[in-house]
Amino acid sequence: MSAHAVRPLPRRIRLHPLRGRRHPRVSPGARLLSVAGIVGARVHAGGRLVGLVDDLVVRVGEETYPPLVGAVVRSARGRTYVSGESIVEILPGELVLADPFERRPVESRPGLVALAHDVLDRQIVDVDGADIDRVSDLVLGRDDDGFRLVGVDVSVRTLLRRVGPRVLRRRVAPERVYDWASVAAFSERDAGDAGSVLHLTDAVAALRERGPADLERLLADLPPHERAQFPGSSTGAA
Amino acid sequence: MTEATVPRARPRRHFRRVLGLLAIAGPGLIAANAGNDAGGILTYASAGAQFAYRTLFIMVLVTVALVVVQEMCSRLGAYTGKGLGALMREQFPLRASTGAMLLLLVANVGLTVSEFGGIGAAMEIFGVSRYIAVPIALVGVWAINVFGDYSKAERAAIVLSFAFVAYPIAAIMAHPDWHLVARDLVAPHFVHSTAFLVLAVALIGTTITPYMQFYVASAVVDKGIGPKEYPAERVDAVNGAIVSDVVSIFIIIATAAAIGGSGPLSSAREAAQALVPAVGSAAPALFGIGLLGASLLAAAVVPLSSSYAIAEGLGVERSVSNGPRQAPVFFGLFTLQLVVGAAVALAPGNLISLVVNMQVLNGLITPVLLVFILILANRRSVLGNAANGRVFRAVSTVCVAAVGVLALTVVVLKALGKS
Repeated sequence: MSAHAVRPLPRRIRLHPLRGRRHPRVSPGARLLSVAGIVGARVHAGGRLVGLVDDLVVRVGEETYPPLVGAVVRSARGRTYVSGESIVEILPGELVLADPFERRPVESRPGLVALAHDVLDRQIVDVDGADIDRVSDLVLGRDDDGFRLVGVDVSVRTLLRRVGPRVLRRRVAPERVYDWASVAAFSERDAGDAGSVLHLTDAVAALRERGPADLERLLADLPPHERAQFPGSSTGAA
Repeated sequence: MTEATVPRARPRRHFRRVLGLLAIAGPGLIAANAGNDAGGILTYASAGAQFAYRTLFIMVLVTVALVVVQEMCSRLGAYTGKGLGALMREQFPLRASTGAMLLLLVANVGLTVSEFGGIGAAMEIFGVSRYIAVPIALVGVWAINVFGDYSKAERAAIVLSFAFVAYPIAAIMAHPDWHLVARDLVAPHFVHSTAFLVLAVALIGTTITPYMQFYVASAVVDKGIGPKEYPAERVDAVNGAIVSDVVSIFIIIATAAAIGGSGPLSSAREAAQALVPAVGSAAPALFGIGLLGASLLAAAVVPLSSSYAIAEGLGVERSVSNGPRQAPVFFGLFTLQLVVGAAVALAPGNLISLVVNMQVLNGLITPVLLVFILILANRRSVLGNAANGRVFRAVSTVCVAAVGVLALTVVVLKALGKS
């Protein structure tokens, strides 16, 4: 009891927060979340450890920035799907579920995309079909409704961070991020999931790279309910 | 919008040009040529010189494994439309695929070393020091790939490497003990010595080369071969593997008949003795020309292949002709491998044993990468109905496990200091 009464100072407090830093640091519980960082993180429900994060699921097709609708949790009992209603909080190193939470079987449904499985590490091609980059990480941002997929991180530094220790993966500090609005959905070339590719919707998408600060700003600029927009249609003519 | 996209060169043009040329020459012949790079020729010759016909049985087993592995690689290319670099990145955890790419890079740097070693050994036959020949070759290979007409240079190198057609002729004219050859080909046997095991690993490393597997998959993708065209491609892949190994077996027989049992090879001139029955006193010159051609050809193809696979894993531009600006990863890796390869080949010491040691390195890395390939070919989520069936899965698992056990044994024996 007494050991927990006095908490150590948060590690994030540094003496010289500005020195050598090019991007503003994102605090925990913040508005930006790394998908590569949350995969493998612990899942708690009512204070109990119930499993590890296997994947995050978004719904594509209706809104420019796909909303997070659920998560896949991996435990000794296998993989289960947990819908968004059961998710209480997502922190960079932890997923907190309601207690009790509803377990559903994992199944693929049209419109739902498992980010780690279907999008992470996939190829990004430009309008000509030429290879540009691969997805190093995906950035989710929180607006008033919850988390949305806002950016595709393609920086090499993020890739290296993923190869390193887990704790490094949680931080969102990409150098090169494509706005999700400039990325059209997936094309399935053949059978199996090995065919999915992300297409940039226009040739100048490369110019729209954003840093984390821009992504934060982007979230602030989002209208509260921008339904009835489709990926591609909003930016294709721009 | 279109203006911005016009100047972009097609990323695979370079590769396709190479393949177009190879297609004319015929797949079996290409495979035979590709397998017989400096490492291959000198390792097969070493096997013949040191153990006469005793390694032939191993070559038969290696051929079975090669057929199985190359079929899986071309199937993966045909059904997914992706090279192995891309598949590994997408299908395995990032750390695992990064490890695989690093191993491929190490294996290929080793091979590049052995190609430059081959160039050095070949030119020593003509009395040219390797300290002159290797740097010139380095600059030449690099410049031709970056600035020049690679296809013409490649054609010339292929023509030079045709010198090795003399091997089967030499093998027959040397009148080897065919009874002994037949016995060592089919009767299971083993020589109880670490040197034999190490050479067996070198034979595996040079025959089931990691780079060839990546090359085969990418070549199938680049040729645009899909599931429909695959049945014909499968025949080609199997034939290519068999033809390639038949030529290798002739190299062992010819060398064994000429200098079998005389101990490890010490020079290229000694290896050339195997060609004497076919061409007489011209043997050293012919061997030198062939070795030079094969080495020059592979000195470009090997680093290109690993650069291609790694750039594919990273998802970036893959072409040397686009220069360092547009394809920095590809260009940088290609240059780095050539420079390191040439530099190591210049280190003092016996070139032949250096080349054979690099094949041992490849043989140790091969089983690790084969596990990745096997897992990919087993996955129905990758290949759908074309995934390995039950029987094929069993056969390929046995092949990969056997290669792995042999490599592990050599590592353990070497660690214990047994010779």
